[in-house]
Amino acid sequence: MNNKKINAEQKGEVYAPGRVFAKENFVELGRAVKRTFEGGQKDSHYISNKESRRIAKENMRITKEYEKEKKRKNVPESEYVTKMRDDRNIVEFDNLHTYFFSDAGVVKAVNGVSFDIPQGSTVGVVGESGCGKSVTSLSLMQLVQAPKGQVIRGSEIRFKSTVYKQDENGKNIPIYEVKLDEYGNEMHDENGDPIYVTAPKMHKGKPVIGKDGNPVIERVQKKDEDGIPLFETEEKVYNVAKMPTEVMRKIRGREITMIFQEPMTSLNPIFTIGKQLDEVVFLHIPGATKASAKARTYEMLKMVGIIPENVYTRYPHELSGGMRQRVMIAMALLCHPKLIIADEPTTALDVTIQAQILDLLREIKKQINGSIMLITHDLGVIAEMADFVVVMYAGRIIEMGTAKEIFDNPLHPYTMGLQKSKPAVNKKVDRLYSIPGSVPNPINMPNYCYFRDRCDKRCAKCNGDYPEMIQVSPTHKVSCHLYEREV
Amino acid sequence: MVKYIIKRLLLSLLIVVGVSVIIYVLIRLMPMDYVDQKFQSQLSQGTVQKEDIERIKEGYGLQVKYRDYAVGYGWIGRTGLKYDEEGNIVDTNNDKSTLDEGILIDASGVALSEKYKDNKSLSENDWVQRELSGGQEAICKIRSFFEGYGTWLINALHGDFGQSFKFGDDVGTIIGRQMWISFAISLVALVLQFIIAIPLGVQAATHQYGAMDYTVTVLAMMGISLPTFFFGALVLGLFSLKLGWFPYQGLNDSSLINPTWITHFLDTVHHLVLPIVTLVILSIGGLMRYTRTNMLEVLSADYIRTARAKGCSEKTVIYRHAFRNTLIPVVTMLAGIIPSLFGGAMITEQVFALPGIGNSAYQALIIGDVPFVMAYNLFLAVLSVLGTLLSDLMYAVVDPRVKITK
Repeated sequence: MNNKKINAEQKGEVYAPGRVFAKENFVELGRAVKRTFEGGQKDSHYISNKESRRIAKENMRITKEYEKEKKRKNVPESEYVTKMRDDRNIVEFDNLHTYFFSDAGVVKAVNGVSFDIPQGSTVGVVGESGCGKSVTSLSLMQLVQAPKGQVIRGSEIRFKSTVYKQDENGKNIPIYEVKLDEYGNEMHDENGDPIYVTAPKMHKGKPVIGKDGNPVIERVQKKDEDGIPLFETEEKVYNVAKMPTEVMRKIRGREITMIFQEPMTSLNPIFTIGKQLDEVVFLHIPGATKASAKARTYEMLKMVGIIPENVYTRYPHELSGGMRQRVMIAMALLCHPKLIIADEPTTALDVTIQAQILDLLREIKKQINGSIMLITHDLGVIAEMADFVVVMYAGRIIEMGTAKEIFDNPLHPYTMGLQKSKPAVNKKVDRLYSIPGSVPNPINMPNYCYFRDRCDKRCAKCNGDYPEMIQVSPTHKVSCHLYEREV
Repeated sequence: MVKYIIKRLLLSLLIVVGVSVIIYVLIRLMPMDYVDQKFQSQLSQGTVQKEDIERIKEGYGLQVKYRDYAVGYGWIGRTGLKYDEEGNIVDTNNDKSTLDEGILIDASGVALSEKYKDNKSLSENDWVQRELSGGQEAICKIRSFFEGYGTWLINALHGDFGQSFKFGDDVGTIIGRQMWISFAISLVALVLQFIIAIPLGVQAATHQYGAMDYTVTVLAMMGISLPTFFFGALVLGLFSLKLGWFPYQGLNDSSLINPTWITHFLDTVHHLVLPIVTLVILSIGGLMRYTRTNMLEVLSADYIRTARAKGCSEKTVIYRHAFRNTLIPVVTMLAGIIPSLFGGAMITEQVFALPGIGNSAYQALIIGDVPFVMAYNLFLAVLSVLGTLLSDLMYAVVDPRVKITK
């Protein structure tokens, strides 16, 4: 035994029973251990207890500050009302940073993302799992998992909102019905003021009698086809990143709605479908009654291809996955939203249902005249649906452009890789292409192209800083050293 | 539904019978039975003979008749008995009195009376017990238990649960009388417990890892860990003995003479403050932790995110969408709560000397009062079984996914 030990030592190895290690390995391990204990940040995969506690403490401080800001009440509107850069857009992400303060360090899930969603268009966001697509959309909804996830100061998400005008008492201003002449035009008196339709004020089916003994006459509020009274509205541009949650709530579910990935678990199991849909109407439409809410729900269920009578009183567990996703879409449509965020709406469904749901989404987009932000990792879906495409990688946008540009002329090696790894019917390949390697550790990202180590077009420049966004055409941008013009 | 309930009730019957067998055997296995405990001092003083005790035990149905069984099985010989060719005893008079004739002898033919004549404190029964092997003794015991249990069961089926050894009264009457005192105390404690624990649990969950969460958790752990007798004594020591704010035992002050019902009631309330506070503080912890855990689980569910995405306020999200889902598992706790409502708080009632059923059960158990302990535990078993059935039915009410069929 001693002989073996001596032999090993002579060869520069350490003797350990049953196994022979090279001495250098031990030295390297020792260094790693030392680094970890010294609290060094050289290797982000190793973190000492002490370091972790320090990070947790720091995180607590930061997140508390952010949470406090969000929970403020009576924030002056001027703090979060801004202007759109381009009035044709409905949403503008401007340098959005969303970080997760984890115990292992700060995860920059979204790291400086800027793109626009034009009115009436479909914007597809693609990228592999964990690249920050969903977090981008959740940031817009202010639904990032708090308190760990926070939208960092300096980020701007501008949203063009239509809000109810309010009088000095904070009450909504109703729109009154105006008398129409025989041609269907609104009638005006000699001063040019509109002549309103009037009727006796009713209370519980009986006319209200005033002090003078006559029935009280009041103006009639205008109602839509579901019998929901109308109020005056105005347009305002909000910076969602700075908005207090209290105000954001009025936008969620009314102007921006969301369809989630998991229809099986996204509906509350203990309420009927009808109750869950009606709730949205009650929340966002002032003056909605039980009957009008039900009418609206029925209308939307019909729109998504469900016979409302069949599901209104059902519980979610009694429906299939595809039906539930239809219900989710109906829920998203209830208040005629300006933007529907569809977060991988077809991932959990089987292929035939996927096609139906996508058809439905396209159909609906035509009808509601709103925009769709479609998040998916399925390039096929994007090709079918989207007008604009944003490709994300490790929390950053690496390429964006119109769908045509991205599909006909992909520039970034990652986009090319994604295209290649999509199965195609008319191509014969032995093996489906896959991009080698995996997404880098999101904590303490280095300042060079995150895709560098997986890229097959790597060049000398790639060892430099993270590449700037390069404008290739008016709509097409890419972030890659390959396209930098020589100076 | 009706079919399901009937099926469950029939099954419950089996369970209750099983429980009663176990309880009967356990209480009979206690090393000192009621008569032994009661006449211990008299026996040592010599005012009561061992033979008398055997007779008294027989009256209470607590005796194991080793002599009769052993002679019957032929383990112990007896002179003057007639045997047939196969070695069985021929009962000449056709009545068991033959067993008393003649002299008991061991295997070598020595008379037991001779063998144990120095040990005056032993009865004939004890001689035989000493002669028997372990297995034979066990068989005798089991036979005795079965005979005793059989008698009890037949009487019980006729609605007669016997007379309590200790309290002398009919067991059913005692339980019926004392149950309501315990019930009143437990009900108030339970309501308070729910009112305090559930909101605290929800708060702790919604402020996870915040100051509120830690405070509540620490208090809950303290509540869970403190034993009742210790905490009860602490409360008594501080609030009744030291500060004198509350009386320290009983349900009413004996100095009250001809009270009106209102003063009587107020006096009772005054007496019950400390026990109820003790009960509540010690039982909050469990329910609170339970609510907190469930709430946390529900709050991370997808449908909660949907509710937020709809634009619900945080209050609506928690109290409308999450709360009912949280309650589903809490409903199962009903099964445990119902027996404890009627069954009384044994130790708390003991500490505060309240005339509740728990206190009586405690005393009965210590002294080996077979009829009372049997009736009390059977009562609890029935309540438990009903509680489980009720909680299963409640499940179907609270959770639409649960359907009761068959």
